[in-house]
Amino acid sequence: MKLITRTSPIGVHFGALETRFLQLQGNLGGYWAVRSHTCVSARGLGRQAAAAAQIQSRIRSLRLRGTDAVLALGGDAVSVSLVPVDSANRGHVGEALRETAARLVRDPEGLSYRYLPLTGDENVLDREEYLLLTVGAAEVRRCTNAAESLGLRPVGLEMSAFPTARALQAVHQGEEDPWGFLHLGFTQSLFGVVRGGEIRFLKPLQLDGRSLFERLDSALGSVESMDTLAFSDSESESESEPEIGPGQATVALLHRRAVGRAVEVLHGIQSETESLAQEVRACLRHFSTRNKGARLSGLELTGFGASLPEVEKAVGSALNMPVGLAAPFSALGIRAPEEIRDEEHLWCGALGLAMRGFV
Amino acid sequence: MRRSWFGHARFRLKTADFLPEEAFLDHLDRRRTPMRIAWVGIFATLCLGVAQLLSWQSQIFEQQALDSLQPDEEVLVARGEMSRVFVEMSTIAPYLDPLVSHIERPTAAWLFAGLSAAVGPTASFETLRWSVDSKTGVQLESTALVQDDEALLGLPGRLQKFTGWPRARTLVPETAEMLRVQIEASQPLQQGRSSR
Repeated sequence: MKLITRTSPIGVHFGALETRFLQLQGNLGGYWAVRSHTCVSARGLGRQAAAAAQIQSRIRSLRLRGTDAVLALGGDAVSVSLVPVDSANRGHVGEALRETAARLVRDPEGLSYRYLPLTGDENVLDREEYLLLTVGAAEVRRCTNAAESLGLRPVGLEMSAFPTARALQAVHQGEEDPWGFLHLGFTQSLFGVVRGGEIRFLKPLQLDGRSLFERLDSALGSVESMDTLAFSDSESESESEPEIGPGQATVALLHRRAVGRAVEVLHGIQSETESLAQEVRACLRHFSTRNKGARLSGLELTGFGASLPEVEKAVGSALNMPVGLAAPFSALGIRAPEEIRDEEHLWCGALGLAMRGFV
Repeated sequence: MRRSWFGHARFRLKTADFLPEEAFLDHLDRRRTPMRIAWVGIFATLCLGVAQLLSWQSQIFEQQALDSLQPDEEVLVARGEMSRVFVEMSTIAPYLDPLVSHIERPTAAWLFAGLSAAVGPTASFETLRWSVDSKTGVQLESTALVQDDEALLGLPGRLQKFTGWPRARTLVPETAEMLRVQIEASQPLQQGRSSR
Protein backbone atom coordinates (compact mmCIF):
# COMPACT_ATOMS: atom_id res chain seq x y z
CA MET A 1 0.00 0.00 0.00
CA LYS A 2 1.34 3.39 -0.93
CA LEU A 3 1.02 6.09 1.65
CA ILE A 4 1.07 9.42 -0.13
CA THR A 5 2.23 12.15 2.17
CA ARG A 6 2.08 15.06 -0.23
CA THR A 7 1.66 15.96 -3.87
CA SER A 8 3.27 18.65 -5.93
CA PRO A 9 1.38 21.24 -7.92
CA ILE A 10 0.45 20.15 -11.42
CA GLY A 11 3.11 21.27 -13.85
CA VAL A 12 1.78 22.19 -17.26
CA HIS A 13 4.42 23.00 -19.84
CA PHE A 14 3.05 24.49 -23.05
CA GLY A 15 5.95 23.74 -25.37
CA ALA A 16 6.29 24.70 -28.98
CA LEU A 17 5.44 21.18 -30.18
CA GLU A 18 3.81 19.49 -27.26
CA THR A 19 2.22 20.18 -23.92
CA ARG A 20 3.35 18.14 -20.96
CA PHE A 21 1.55 17.53 -17.69
CA LEU A 22 3.44 16.25 -14.67
CA GLN A 23 2.61 15.83 -11.01
CA LEU A 24 4.84 14.32 -8.34
CA GLN A 25 3.87 12.60 -5.15
CA GLY A 26 5.89 12.10 -2.03
CA ASN A 27 5.59 8.70 -0.46
CA LEU A 28 6.30 7.47 3.02
CA GLY A 29 10.00 7.74 3.69
CA GLY A 30 10.40 10.97 1.79
CA TYR A 31 10.81 9.40 -1.62
CA TRP A 32 9.17 11.06 -4.57
CA ALA A 33 7.70 9.57 -7.68
CA VAL A 34 5.78 10.67 -10.72
CA ARG A 35 2.12 10.52 -9.82
CA SER A 36 0.70 11.53 -13.15
CA HIS A 37 2.04 12.59 -16.50
CA THR A 38 0.97 12.95 -20.06
CA CYS A 39 2.10 14.62 -23.24
CA VAL A 40 -0.05 15.82 -26.08
CA SER A 41 0.86 17.35 -29.42
CA ALA A 42 -0.21 20.88 -30.13
CA ARG A 43 1.45 23.76 -31.90
CA GLY A 44 0.72 27.18 -33.16
CA LEU A 45 -1.05 30.08 -31.56
CA GLY A 46 -3.93 28.02 -30.27
CA ARG A 47 -1.78 25.16 -28.96
CA GLN A 48 -2.88 25.71 -25.37
CA ALA A 49 -6.56 25.32 -26.21
CA ALA A 50 -5.82 22.40 -28.51
CA ALA A 51 -3.84 20.65 -25.79
CA ALA A 52 -6.61 21.28 -23.28
CA ALA A 53 -9.18 19.86 -25.69
CA GLN A 54 -7.14 16.67 -26.08
CA ILE A 55 -6.72 16.28 -22.33
CA GLN A 56 -10.32 17.17 -21.49
CA SER A 57 -11.76 13.76 -22.26
CA ARG A 58 -9.27 11.85 -20.12
CA ILE A 59 -8.47 14.32 -17.38
CA ARG A 60 -10.02 11.97 -14.81
CA SER A 61 -7.82 9.09 -15.86
CA LEU A 62 -4.76 11.19 -15.05
CA ARG A 63 -5.63 10.93 -11.33
CA LEU A 64 -4.45 14.44 -10.68
CA ARG A 65 -4.65 15.49 -7.07
CA GLY A 66 -5.56 19.08 -6.37
CA THR A 67 -6.22 21.77 -8.90
CA ASP A 68 -3.31 24.16 -8.43
CA ALA A 69 -1.36 24.26 -11.67
CA VAL A 70 1.96 25.91 -12.37
CA LEU A 71 2.22 26.82 -16.03
CA ALA A 72 5.18 27.45 -18.27
CA LEU A 73 5.50 28.95 -21.71
CA GLY A 74 7.99 27.80 -24.27
CA GLY A 75 10.89 30.06 -25.07
CA ASP A 76 9.40 30.97 -28.44
CA ALA A 77 6.45 32.68 -26.76
CA VAL A 78 8.54 34.82 -24.47
CA SER A 79 10.94 37.48 -25.56
CA VAL A 80 14.20 37.37 -23.62
CA SER A 81 16.52 40.33 -23.56
CA LEU A 82 19.50 41.50 -21.55
CA VAL A 83 19.19 45.18 -20.78
CA PRO A 84 22.37 46.92 -19.63
CA VAL A 85 21.90 49.98 -17.47
CA ASP A 86 24.77 52.36 -16.86
CA SER A 87 25.30 53.80 -13.44
CA ALA A 88 24.23 57.19 -14.76
CA ASN A 89 20.83 55.84 -15.81
CA ARG A 90 20.01 53.80 -12.73
CA GLY A 91 17.31 56.23 -11.77
CA HIS A 92 15.41 55.44 -14.96
CA VAL A 93 15.61 51.66 -14.93
CA GLY A 94 11.86 51.14 -14.84
CA GLU A 95 11.26 53.43 -17.74
CA ALA A 96 14.04 51.87 -19.81
CA LEU A 97 12.74 48.38 -19.20
CA ARG A 98 9.19 49.35 -20.05
CA GLU A 99 10.26 50.91 -23.33
CA THR A 100 12.38 47.92 -24.22
CA ALA A 101 9.53 45.54 -23.46
CA ALA A 102 7.16 47.55 -25.61
CA ARG A 103 9.58 47.30 -28.52
CA LEU A 104 10.04 43.55 -28.16
CA VAL A 105 6.42 42.39 -28.16
CA ARG A 106 3.44 43.74 -30.01
CA ASP A 107 0.17 42.40 -28.79
CA PRO A 108 -3.19 44.14 -29.23
CA GLU A 109 -4.24 42.92 -25.80
CA GLY A 110 -1.17 44.43 -24.20
CA LEU A 111 1.95 42.93 -22.78
CA SER A 112 3.33 41.69 -19.55
CA TYR A 113 6.98 41.93 -18.61
CA ARG A 114 9.12 40.88 -15.71
CA TYR A 115 12.76 41.58 -15.03
CA LEU A 116 15.46 40.19 -12.83
CA PRO A 117 18.71 41.95 -11.99
CA LEU A 118 21.61 39.74 -13.02
CA THR A 119 23.94 40.04 -10.09
CA GLY A 120 27.64 39.70 -10.68
CA ASP A 121 30.83 40.46 -8.86
CA GLU A 122 30.46 43.90 -7.33
CA ASN A 123 34.11 44.73 -7.87
CA VAL A 124 33.83 44.49 -11.63
CA LEU A 125 30.38 45.98 -12.01
CA ASP A 126 30.49 49.19 -13.93
CA ARG A 127 26.95 48.72 -15.12
CA GLU A 128 23.97 46.68 -14.12
CA GLU A 129 22.28 44.14 -16.31
CA TYR A 130 18.64 43.19 -16.22
CA LEU A 131 17.11 40.08 -17.68
CA LEU A 132 13.92 41.30 -19.30
CA LEU A 133 11.18 38.78 -20.09
CA THR A 134 8.23 39.98 -22.11
CA VAL A 135 5.13 38.14 -23.17
CA GLY A 136 1.94 39.21 -24.84
CA ALA A 137 -1.17 39.44 -22.70
CA ALA A 138 -2.99 37.26 -25.22
CA GLU A 139 -0.49 34.46 -24.68
CA VAL A 140 -0.95 34.70 -20.92
CA ARG A 141 -4.72 34.62 -21.40
CA ARG A 142 -4.54 31.59 -23.67
CA CYS A 143 -2.47 29.69 -21.10
CA THR A 144 -4.68 30.53 -18.15
CA ASN A 145 -7.86 29.89 -20.12
CA ALA A 146 -6.61 26.49 -21.23
CA ALA A 147 -5.75 25.53 -17.68
CA GLU A 148 -9.06 26.79 -16.35
CA SER A 149 -10.96 24.89 -19.02
CA LEU A 150 -9.49 21.73 -17.51
CA GLY A 151 -10.70 22.72 -14.07
CA LEU A 152 -7.23 23.73 -12.96
CA ARG A 153 -6.34 26.83 -10.99
CA PRO A 154 -3.31 28.62 -12.48
CA VAL A 155 -1.02 29.76 -9.68
CA GLY A 156 2.08 30.60 -11.68
CA LEU A 157 3.22 31.22 -15.21
CA GLU A 158 6.92 31.12 -15.97
CA MET A 159 9.12 31.01 -18.98
CA SER A 160 10.30 27.42 -19.50
CA ALA A 161 13.94 28.28 -18.85
CA PHE A 162 13.21 28.85 -15.17
CA PRO A 163 11.61 25.49 -14.38
CA THR A 164 14.31 23.80 -16.45
CA ALA A 165 16.97 25.55 -14.41
CA ARG A 166 15.10 24.69 -11.22
CA ALA A 167 15.06 20.98 -11.97
CA LEU A 168 18.74 20.98 -12.87
CA GLN A 169 19.61 23.21 -9.92
CA ALA A 170 18.41 20.44 -7.63
CA VAL A 171 20.89 18.14 -9.35
CA HIS A 172 23.70 20.65 -8.85
CA GLN A 173 22.68 21.45 -5.27
CA GLY A 174 25.69 22.41 -3.19
CA GLU A 175 28.01 23.17 -6.09
CA GLU A 176 29.87 26.43 -5.74
CA ASP A 177 30.99 26.67 -9.35
CA PRO A 178 28.58 27.98 -11.95
CA TRP A 179 27.06 25.51 -14.36
CA GLY A 180 25.18 26.02 -17.58
CA PHE A 181 22.28 24.59 -19.47
CA LEU A 182 21.70 24.62 -23.19
CA HIS A 183 18.11 24.14 -24.20
CA LEU A 184 17.95 23.07 -27.83
CA GLY A 185 14.25 23.48 -28.38
CA PHE A 186 12.60 22.72 -31.67
CA THR A 187 11.96 26.37 -32.45
CA GLN A 188 14.24 28.17 -30.03
CA SER A 189 17.46 27.55 -28.18
CA LEU A 190 18.48 29.10 -24.89
CA PHE A 191 21.74 29.22 -23.05
CA GLY A 192 21.71 29.92 -19.35
CA VAL A 193 24.19 30.03 -16.50
CA VAL A 194 23.21 29.28 -12.93
CA ARG A 195 25.26 30.12 -9.88
CA GLY A 196 24.29 30.08 -6.25
CA GLY A 197 20.75 28.99 -7.05
CA GLU A 198 20.14 31.94 -9.31
CA ILE A 199 20.10 32.37 -13.06
CA ARG A 200 23.00 34.74 -13.76
CA PHE A 201 22.79 34.68 -17.52
CA LEU A 202 20.16 33.77 -20.09
CA LYS A 203 20.20 34.34 -23.79
CA PRO A 204 18.42 32.94 -26.83
CA LEU A 205 20.70 31.43 -29.46
CA GLN A 206 20.41 31.37 -33.21
CA LEU A 207 20.64 27.64 -33.76
CA ASP A 208 17.60 25.58 -32.81
CA GLY A 209 16.62 21.93 -32.81
CA ARG A 210 14.91 22.22 -36.18
CA SER A 211 18.17 23.34 -37.88
CA LEU A 212 20.11 20.53 -36.26
CA PHE A 213 17.53 18.01 -37.34
CA GLU A 214 17.51 19.27 -40.90
CA ARG A 215 21.27 18.97 -41.11
CA LEU A 216 21.20 15.47 -39.66
CA ASP A 217 18.32 14.51 -41.88
CA SER A 218 20.13 15.59 -44.98
CA ALA A 219 23.40 14.07 -43.80
CA LEU A 220 21.76 10.71 -43.23
CA GLY A 221 19.74 10.85 -46.43
CA SER A 222 16.24 11.07 -45.00
CA VAL A 223 13.27 12.02 -47.09
CA GLU A 224 11.01 12.91 -44.14
CA SER A 225 9.64 16.41 -44.04
CA MET A 226 9.42 18.65 -41.00
CA ASP A 227 5.66 18.42 -40.83
CA THR A 228 5.71 14.66 -40.61
CA LEU A 229 8.49 14.94 -38.06
CA ALA A 230 6.58 17.18 -35.75
CA PHE A 231 3.35 15.26 -35.81
CA SER A 232 4.23 11.89 -37.16
CA ASP A 233 3.24 10.17 -33.93
CA SER A 234 0.40 12.33 -32.81
CA GLU A 235 -2.14 10.72 -35.07
CA SER A 236 -1.30 7.25 -33.90
CA GLU A 237 -1.35 8.32 -30.28
CA SER A 238 -3.78 6.21 -28.34
CA GLU A 239 -5.27 6.77 -24.91
CA SER A 240 -3.45 3.78 -23.54
CA GLU A 241 -0.07 5.19 -24.53
CA PRO A 242 -0.41 8.93 -24.48
CA GLU A 243 3.05 9.49 -23.01
CA ILE A 244 5.00 8.86 -26.22
CA GLY A 245 6.09 12.29 -27.37
CA PRO A 246 5.59 13.52 -30.88
CA GLY A 247 8.52 13.01 -33.16
CA GLN A 248 10.31 10.60 -30.85
CA ALA A 249 9.84 7.73 -33.23
CA THR A 250 11.45 9.86 -35.92
CA VAL A 251 14.33 10.71 -33.62
CA ALA A 252 14.70 7.04 -32.79
CA LEU A 253 14.80 6.32 -36.53
CA LEU A 254 17.54 8.89 -36.91
CA HIS A 255 19.50 7.19 -34.16
CA ARG A 256 19.16 3.86 -35.89
CA ARG A 257 20.36 5.38 -39.12
CA ALA A 258 23.30 7.01 -37.35
CA VAL A 259 24.60 3.73 -35.95
CA GLY A 260 28.09 3.19 -37.32
CA ARG A 261 28.09 6.57 -39.06
CA ALA A 262 29.31 8.76 -36.23
CA VAL A 263 32.04 10.42 -38.24
CA GLU A 264 29.63 11.20 -41.01
CA VAL A 265 27.11 12.64 -38.56
CA LEU A 266 29.70 14.71 -36.75
CA HIS A 267 30.92 16.07 -40.05
CA GLY A 268 27.36 16.86 -41.07
CA ILE A 269 26.55 18.92 -37.99
CA GLN A 270 30.03 20.37 -37.54
CA SER A 271 29.18 23.79 -38.93
CA GLU A 272 26.03 24.05 -36.81
CA THR A 273 27.71 22.95 -33.60
CA GLU A 274 30.63 25.25 -34.29
CA SER A 275 28.38 28.26 -34.76
CA LEU A 276 26.52 27.19 -31.63
CA ALA A 277 29.79 26.92 -29.74
CA GLN A 278 30.83 30.37 -30.90
CA GLU A 279 27.64 31.86 -29.49
CA VAL A 280 28.06 29.99 -26.24
CA ARG A 281 31.70 31.03 -25.98
CA ALA A 282 30.69 34.66 -26.45
CA CYS A 283 28.15 34.28 -23.67
CA LEU A 284 30.74 32.67 -21.44
CA ARG A 285 33.21 35.47 -22.05
CA HIS A 286 30.54 37.95 -21.06
CA PHE A 287 29.68 35.97 -17.96
CA SER A 288 33.30 35.48 -17.05
CA THR A 289 34.00 39.20 -17.34
CA ARG A 290 31.24 40.01 -14.91
CA ASN A 291 32.09 37.22 -12.49
CA LYS A 292 35.86 37.43 -11.95
CA GLY A 293 36.75 34.89 -14.59
CA ALA A 294 34.36 32.21 -13.31
CA ARG A 295 34.29 29.08 -15.45
CA LEU A 296 31.46 26.65 -15.91
CA SER A 297 31.80 23.28 -14.26
CA GLY A 298 29.66 21.68 -16.93
CA LEU A 299 26.83 22.04 -19.38
CA GLU A 300 23.51 20.21 -19.39
CA LEU A 301 21.65 19.71 -22.65
CA THR A 302 17.88 19.73 -22.76
CA GLY A 303 15.18 19.95 -25.39
CA PHE A 304 14.41 18.28 -28.66
CA GLY A 305 17.84 18.79 -30.24
CA ALA A 306 19.76 17.46 -27.25
CA SER A 307 19.00 13.85 -28.01
CA LEU A 308 19.80 13.97 -31.69
CA PRO A 309 22.64 11.65 -32.66
CA GLU A 310 26.13 12.83 -31.76
CA VAL A 311 24.95 16.31 -30.71
CA GLU A 312 26.14 15.84 -27.14
CA LYS A 313 29.57 14.74 -28.30
CA ALA A 314 29.81 17.49 -30.91
CA VAL A 315 28.86 20.27 -28.51
CA GLY A 316 31.22 18.96 -25.85
CA SER A 317 34.04 18.79 -28.33
CA ALA A 318 33.36 22.29 -29.65
CA LEU A 319 33.14 23.86 -26.18
CA ASN A 320 35.87 21.75 -24.61
CA MET A 321 33.98 21.27 -21.37
CA PRO A 322 31.95 18.46 -19.76
CA VAL A 323 28.61 18.25 -21.56
CA GLY A 324 25.87 15.81 -20.65
CA LEU A 325 22.31 15.05 -21.52
CA ALA A 326 20.14 16.26 -18.66
CA ALA A 327 18.65 13.41 -16.62
CA PRO A 328 17.21 15.01 -13.47
CA PHE A 329 14.86 12.13 -12.65
CA SER A 330 17.72 9.67 -12.50
CA ALA A 331 20.02 12.08 -10.70
CA LEU A 332 17.46 12.95 -8.06
CA GLY A 333 16.13 9.45 -7.64
CA ILE A 334 12.60 10.32 -8.68
CA ARG A 335 10.74 7.18 -9.61
CA ALA A 336 9.38 7.69 -13.09
CA PRO A 337 7.83 5.48 -15.74
CA GLU A 338 9.95 4.26 -18.59
CA GLU A 339 8.57 6.70 -21.14
CA ILE A 340 9.87 9.55 -19.01
CA ARG A 341 13.18 7.81 -18.33
CA ASP A 342 13.70 7.51 -22.06
CA GLU A 343 13.44 11.25 -22.63
CA GLU A 344 14.23 12.95 -19.34
CA HIS A 345 15.78 15.88 -21.18
CA LEU A 346 12.33 16.73 -22.53
CA TRP A 347 10.66 16.59 -19.12
CA CYS A 348 13.01 19.00 -17.34
CA GLY A 349 10.61 21.93 -17.69
CA ALA A 350 7.61 20.00 -16.42
CA LEU A 351 9.66 18.59 -13.55
CA GLY A 352 10.88 22.04 -12.58
CA LEU A 353 7.31 23.28 -12.54
CA ALA A 354 6.20 20.48 -10.24
CA MET A 355 9.18 21.21 -7.99
CA ARG A 356 8.35 24.87 -7.66
CA GLY A 357 8.07 25.88 -4.04
CA PHE A 358 10.09 22.86 -2.96
CA VAL A 359 13.39 23.95 -4.58
CA MET B 1 13.53 11.60 -4.52
CA ARG B 2 16.32 12.34 -2.13
CA ARG B 3 15.04 13.84 1.07
CA SER B 4 18.23 15.75 1.67
CA TRP B 5 17.41 18.50 -0.77
CA PHE B 6 13.69 18.26 -1.52
CA GLY B 7 12.05 20.96 0.48
CA HIS B 8 15.31 21.77 2.25
CA ALA B 9 17.23 23.38 -0.58
CA ARG B 10 19.71 26.06 0.32
CA PHE B 11 18.49 28.19 -2.53
CA ARG B 12 15.14 28.63 -4.14
CA LEU B 13 15.61 29.65 -7.69
CA LYS B 14 14.54 33.20 -8.33
CA THR B 15 11.96 33.31 -11.02
CA ALA B 16 9.89 35.72 -13.05
CA ASP B 17 6.22 34.90 -12.75
CA PHE B 18 3.79 36.47 -15.17
CA LEU B 19 0.89 35.84 -12.83
CA PRO B 20 0.46 37.88 -9.66
CA GLU B 21 2.70 36.81 -6.82
CA GLU B 22 -0.32 36.41 -4.55
CA ALA B 23 -1.56 33.48 -6.64
CA PHE B 24 1.51 31.41 -5.87
CA LEU B 25 1.64 32.56 -2.25
CA ASP B 26 -1.96 31.40 -1.89
CA HIS B 27 -0.93 28.10 -3.41
CA LEU B 28 1.87 27.75 -0.87
CA ASP B 29 -0.62 28.51 1.85
CA ARG B 30 -2.99 25.86 0.55
CA ARG B 31 -0.08 23.44 0.28
CA ARG B 32 0.51 23.81 3.97
CA THR B 33 -3.09 22.93 4.76
CA PRO B 34 -2.54 19.15 4.91
CA MET B 35 0.28 19.78 7.32
CA ARG B 36 -2.01 21.91 9.45
CA ILE B 37 -4.61 19.16 9.38
CA ALA B 38 -1.92 16.71 10.34
CA TRP B 39 -0.93 18.84 13.32
CA VAL B 40 -4.55 19.20 14.40
CA GLY B 41 -4.95 15.46 14.02
CA ILE B 42 -1.85 14.79 16.06
CA PHE B 43 -3.04 17.21 18.75
CA ALA B 44 -6.50 15.66 18.80
CA THR B 45 -5.00 12.20 19.01
CA LEU B 46 -2.81 13.37 21.86
CA CYS B 47 -5.83 14.79 23.68
CA LEU B 48 -7.76 11.58 23.13
CA GLY B 49 -4.80 9.61 24.39
CA VAL B 50 -4.54 11.73 27.52
CA ALA B 51 -8.31 11.46 28.06
CA GLN B 52 -8.13 7.69 27.63
CA LEU B 53 -5.23 7.55 30.05
CA LEU B 54 -7.17 9.55 32.62
CA SER B 55 -10.17 7.32 32.07
CA TRP B 56 -8.11 4.21 32.69
CA GLN B 57 -6.57 5.80 35.76
CA SER B 58 -9.96 6.76 37.19
CA GLN B 59 -11.25 3.26 36.52
CA ILE B 60 -8.28 1.86 38.38
CA PHE B 61 -8.94 4.19 41.33
CA GLU B 62 -12.63 3.33 41.31
CA GLN B 63 -11.85 -0.36 41.33
CA GLN B 64 -9.41 0.14 44.16
CA ALA B 65 -12.07 2.04 46.14
CA LEU B 66 -14.63 -0.70 45.54
CA ASP B 67 -12.12 -3.33 46.54
CA SER B 68 -11.38 -1.44 49.73
CA LEU B 69 -15.09 -1.51 50.64
CA GLN B 70 -15.23 -5.27 50.28
CA PRO B 71 -14.25 -7.00 53.63
CA ASP B 72 -11.50 -9.50 53.33
CA GLU B 73 -11.85 -13.14 54.29
CA GLU B 74 -10.24 -12.85 57.72
CA VAL B 75 -12.62 -10.04 58.67
CA LEU B 76 -15.59 -12.09 57.53
CA VAL B 77 -14.44 -15.11 59.54
CA ALA B 78 -13.83 -12.99 62.62
CA ARG B 79 -17.17 -11.28 62.22
CA GLY B 80 -18.92 -14.67 61.99
CA GLU B 81 -17.09 -15.88 65.04
CA MET B 82 -18.10 -12.76 66.92
CA SER B 83 -21.71 -13.29 65.93
CA ARG B 84 -21.57 -16.85 67.13
CA VAL B 85 -20.06 -15.77 70.43
CA PHE B 86 -22.67 -13.04 70.78
CA VAL B 87 -25.49 -15.54 70.19
CA GLU B 88 -24.04 -17.87 72.79
CA MET B 89 -23.58 -15.03 75.28
CA SER B 90 -27.11 -13.81 74.70
CA THR B 91 -28.48 -17.06 76.16
CA ILE B 92 -26.70 -16.50 79.49
CA ALA B 93 -26.95 -12.70 79.57
CA PRO B 94 -29.93 -12.67 82.04
CA TYR B 95 -27.81 -14.53 84.49
CA LEU B 96 -24.76 -12.44 83.99
CA ASP B 97 -26.31 -9.05 84.74
CA PRO B 98 -27.12 -9.61 88.48
CA LEU B 99 -23.77 -11.28 88.92
CA VAL B 100 -22.05 -8.29 87.39
CA SER B 101 -23.95 -5.87 89.61
CA HIS B 102 -23.08 -7.96 92.62
CA ILE B 103 -19.46 -8.14 91.66
CA GLU B 104 -19.39 -4.41 91.24
CA ARG B 105 -20.40 -3.86 94.85
CA PRO B 106 -17.52 -2.94 97.18
CA THR B 107 -16.11 -5.57 99.50
CA ALA B 108 -14.98 -4.99 103.09
CA ALA B 109 -14.28 -8.44 104.40
CA TRP B 110 -10.62 -7.93 104.04
CA LEU B 111 -10.90 -5.09 106.63
CA PHE B 112 -11.90 -7.48 109.37
CA ALA B 113 -8.80 -9.54 109.02
CA GLY B 114 -6.41 -6.70 109.80
CA LEU B 115 -8.45 -4.04 111.50
CA SER B 116 -7.66 -5.06 115.10
CA ALA B 117 -3.95 -5.17 114.42
CA ALA B 118 -4.10 -1.83 112.66
CA VAL B 119 -5.63 0.11 115.56
CA GLY B 120 -3.05 -1.27 117.97
CA PRO B 121 -3.21 -3.19 121.28
CA THR B 122 -4.62 -0.28 123.30
CA ALA B 123 -7.86 -0.17 121.37
CA SER B 124 -10.51 -2.81 120.94
CA PHE B 125 -13.60 -2.75 118.78
CA GLU B 126 -16.95 -3.39 120.30
CA THR B 127 -19.22 -2.96 117.32
CA LEU B 128 -18.71 -2.69 113.61
CA ARG B 129 -21.46 -1.53 111.26
CA TRP B 130 -21.08 -1.73 107.53
CA SER B 131 -23.24 0.17 105.14
CA VAL B 132 -23.22 1.00 101.46
CA ASP B 133 -25.20 3.83 100.02
CA SER B 134 -25.13 5.29 96.54
CA LYS B 135 -24.91 8.82 97.97
CA THR B 136 -22.56 8.44 100.90
CA GLY B 137 -20.60 5.55 99.52
CA VAL B 138 -19.15 2.78 101.67
CA GLN B 139 -19.40 3.58 105.33
CA LEU B 140 -17.91 1.68 108.28
CA GLU B 141 -19.06 2.63 111.76
CA SER B 142 -17.46 1.03 114.76
CA THR B 143 -17.39 1.41 118.54
CA ALA B 144 -14.04 0.90 120.20
CA LEU B 145 -12.54 1.07 123.66
CA VAL B 146 -9.31 3.04 123.70
CA GLN B 147 -6.99 2.89 126.71
CA ASP B 148 -4.74 5.94 126.34
CA ASP B 149 -4.72 9.33 124.78
CA GLU B 150 -2.08 8.53 122.29
CA ALA B 151 -4.10 5.62 121.02
CA LEU B 152 -7.20 7.75 121.02
CA LEU B 153 -5.66 10.59 119.05
CA GLY B 154 -3.90 8.32 116.56
CA LEU B 155 -6.74 5.96 116.02
CA PRO B 156 -8.41 7.78 113.09
CA GLY B 157 -5.05 8.20 111.42
CA ARG B 158 -4.12 4.57 111.79
CA LEU B 159 -7.52 3.51 110.60
CA GLN B 160 -7.25 5.84 107.60
CA LYS B 161 -3.78 4.54 106.84
CA PHE B 162 -4.89 0.94 107.01
CA THR B 163 -7.98 1.29 104.91
CA GLY B 164 -6.56 3.81 102.53
CA TRP B 165 -9.84 5.61 102.70
CA PRO B 166 -9.78 9.39 102.54
CA ARG B 167 -11.64 10.15 105.77
CA ALA B 168 -11.61 8.75 109.30
CA ARG B 169 -12.55 10.56 112.53
CA THR B 170 -13.34 10.00 116.20
CA LEU B 171 -16.86 10.98 117.10
CA VAL B 172 -17.64 10.58 120.90
CA PRO B 173 -15.20 10.50 123.84
CA GLU B 174 -16.86 8.94 126.95
CA THR B 175 -14.69 8.37 130.09
CA ALA B 176 -11.39 9.69 131.38
CA GLU B 177 -9.75 6.35 131.95
CA MET B 178 -11.19 4.69 129.08
CA LEU B 179 -12.98 6.33 126.34
CA ARG B 180 -15.57 4.69 124.35
CA VAL B 181 -15.35 6.30 120.97
CA GLN B 182 -17.31 5.88 117.88
CA ILE B 183 -15.15 5.73 114.78
CA GLU B 184 -16.48 6.32 111.38
CA ALA B 185 -14.56 5.61 108.17
CA SER B 186 -16.06 6.17 104.79
CA GLN B 187 -15.20 6.20 101.07
CA PRO B 188 -17.29 7.50 98.19
CA LEU B 189 -18.28 4.90 95.68
CA GLN B 190 -16.44 4.84 92.37
CA GLN B 191 -18.51 4.01 89.30
CA GLY B 192 -17.65 0.68 87.66
CA ARG B 193 -14.83 -0.10 90.10
CA SER B 194 -14.86 -2.17 93.23
CA SER B 195 -13.65 -0.51 96.41
CA ARG B 196 -10.91 -1.85 98.61
